Amino acid sequence: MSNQRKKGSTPIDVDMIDGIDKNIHEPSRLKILAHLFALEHTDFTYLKNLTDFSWGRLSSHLDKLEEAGYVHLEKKLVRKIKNGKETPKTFISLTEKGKKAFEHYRNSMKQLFS
Amino acid sequence: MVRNVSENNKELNFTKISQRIHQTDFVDGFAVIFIGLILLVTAGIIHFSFSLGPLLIVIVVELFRPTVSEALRKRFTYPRIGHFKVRTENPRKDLPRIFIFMIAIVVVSLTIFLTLEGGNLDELYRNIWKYLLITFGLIMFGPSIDLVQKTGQVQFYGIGILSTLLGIFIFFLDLPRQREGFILYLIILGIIFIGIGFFIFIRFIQTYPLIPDEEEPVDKELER
Repeated sequence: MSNQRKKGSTPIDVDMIDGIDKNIHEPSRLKILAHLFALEHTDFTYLKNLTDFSWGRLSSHLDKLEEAGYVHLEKKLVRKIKNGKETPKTFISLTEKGKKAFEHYRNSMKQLFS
Repeated sequence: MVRNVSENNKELNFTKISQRIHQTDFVDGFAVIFIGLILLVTAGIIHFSFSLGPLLIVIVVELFRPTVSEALRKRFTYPRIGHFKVRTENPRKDLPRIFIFMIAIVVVSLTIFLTLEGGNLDELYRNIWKYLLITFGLIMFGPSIDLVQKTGQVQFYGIGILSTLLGIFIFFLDLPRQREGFILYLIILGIIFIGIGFFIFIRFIQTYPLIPDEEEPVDKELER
């Protein structure tokens, strides 16, 4: 069997694939988490520009990540400079659980293909 | 810059993502203006012979820098590109690396200058302000390299290159009063950085208009 395998290719641990966190593995959510991992906190506007997602797409994926306990969403009142009025703004940050899950996912992927 | 992030974000490279987010920290020019201000204050400290007054200014500037920086960002940056705070992964981890680099530069430079003075320590001490022009420029490569690694933007080598070239230029001017020469160097460098910072800031204001109201995330779908 091993003689038939191409040079340089390694076997993939199938059991590891079953253990992959599906909340993170979905490409859109992985993209969101990868950006949030480098940030203390951010808002929808900044994250939308980084990911190039629509409000709806971003919102629905953040809902799923919040349900999983990976992100924390908090509404705060922010004063607008144009008219001085306070408007609600949603701040997004990665939770400790989210950080650990993301790091675990990264390590699993490295191991899987190493 | 934020727009470029989305344009270029075709593949998921974690290092590149981190670098792009760090780039945003410099997009408004305030960080460069602060570097310039610190250089001007340093010139003041040397001018007043390291007296307590200017040192207190440095302490006050350093204490209030994060607050002032955040206030400026609330006024000018966040309304244009959104709120963000870059995660600094254990800032103490990077410090020894930069510090060791700076110490190495000082030791190597002093050794070379001492050799040039024929091993005469008195001569080295007499010309120390003149030699400091070169050493300081090289030291500035420390933060320069660190910023290139963090942001992936080679433009940050400019900090080290500019500091070194200006140092060499003033060195060869051979000013009669060396200490004043070094103060002049810090003032010119500080003014250049403040100028560059203002240029970046104006370009930022022109590139990123205020986010229109309808783009604010107050859609019904976000209300819970």
